Amino acid sequence: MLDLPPTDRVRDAFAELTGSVDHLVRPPGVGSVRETVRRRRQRRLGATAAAAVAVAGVIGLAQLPPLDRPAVDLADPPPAATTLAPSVLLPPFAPPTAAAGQSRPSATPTAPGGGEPAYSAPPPTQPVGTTNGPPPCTSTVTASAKGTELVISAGPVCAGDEIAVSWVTYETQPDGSQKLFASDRHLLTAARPRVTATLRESPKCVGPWYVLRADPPIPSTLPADAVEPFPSGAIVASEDGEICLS
Amino acid sequence: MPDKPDFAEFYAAWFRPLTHQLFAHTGDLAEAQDVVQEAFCRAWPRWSTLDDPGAWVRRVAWNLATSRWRRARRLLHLTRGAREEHSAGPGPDRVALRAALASLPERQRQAVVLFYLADVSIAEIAELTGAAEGTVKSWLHRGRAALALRLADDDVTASQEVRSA
Repeated sequence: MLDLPPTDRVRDAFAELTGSVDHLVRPPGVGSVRETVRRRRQRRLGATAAAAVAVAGVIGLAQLPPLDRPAVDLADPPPAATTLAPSVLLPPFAPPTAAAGQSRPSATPTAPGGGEPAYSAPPPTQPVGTTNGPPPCTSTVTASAKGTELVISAGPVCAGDEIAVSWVTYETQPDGSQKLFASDRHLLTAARPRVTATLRESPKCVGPWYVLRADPPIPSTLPADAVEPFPSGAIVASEDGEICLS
Repeated sequence: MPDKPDFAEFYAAWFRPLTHQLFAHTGDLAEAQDVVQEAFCRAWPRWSTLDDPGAWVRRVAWNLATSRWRRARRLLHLTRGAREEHSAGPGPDRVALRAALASLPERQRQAVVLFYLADVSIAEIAELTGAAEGTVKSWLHRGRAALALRLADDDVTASQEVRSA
């Protein structure tokens, strides 16, 4: 054996090593792979739905008229000099141009994969004795990805509304942090409620990707120990990435 | 270019070789199987988009193994105070190569395993590790020499023991 060239000696040793453990290798199987992926998808769906309920709850509370103010009758608004702002009955993010009685959309996050809407915000509570306005317009934003092909859609987008959505990808760094790799922003409108995009991912160290709404700040770097890099209500969909080798 | 195999065929063909590679690198068979299975779990949702699934799964499995090993080493380092371990992995084993591999620095071990067990080219190892090809050649040269020396030493020791018995 000692007379063998070193490389052959090393090759023989590798063959011996793998031969010694091959009978101990127990592949869990393709079924286990599919079951794991299915379980993770369900878990992500549940987590995103919980976040959506929390966001919708906050929005719903914000829509309630303050108890110490008189209710506003939309059918017969008081004179401008004495009236309360119409936005009392509108979500806080309604732009000044929105017509009274026309509710704004509430972009509701759902899980990736085009799952069912996790939650639709309830209509605003109407004060007793007032006339009901038209039914509120609510929007649901969903995103699904197949590989790097991304589809983001809202349904419906209320007339005159624009829903800002963006996708962002990160590249995993050797120290475990994530560096912003690419991002893009789109506006969903009634005329264009669906956009398709291609996630641009790092060719070497694929990090996580996110689909976001409402223009949250996008950090250029996510620390390795970042748990919630974005407000949970801003995340429409996301997927973890891999870890960089070098 | 050959047709892409279906996922089950691919799994059947690649699970064992990848596990062997990661076992040679980590010295831990259960850990090797875990990271390889995890790599397949990550491949499945994007299967239709993978041009070279073998290279992709191998890269992810190695990434995971390296990351886990570094985390474990950091934990070991913390629990042992300031003592830094030069290389990871198992102690001496009944198979001489395992002990020899464990004595190699991480990068040399990775290069040698990829080269000998995975038949990965020097250019691919460079791409995988983010190092220059010249650096990979250097790792391979030094790693190979160290392994050969260790294996030869073991042979000499064994033959001396036989003679003295």
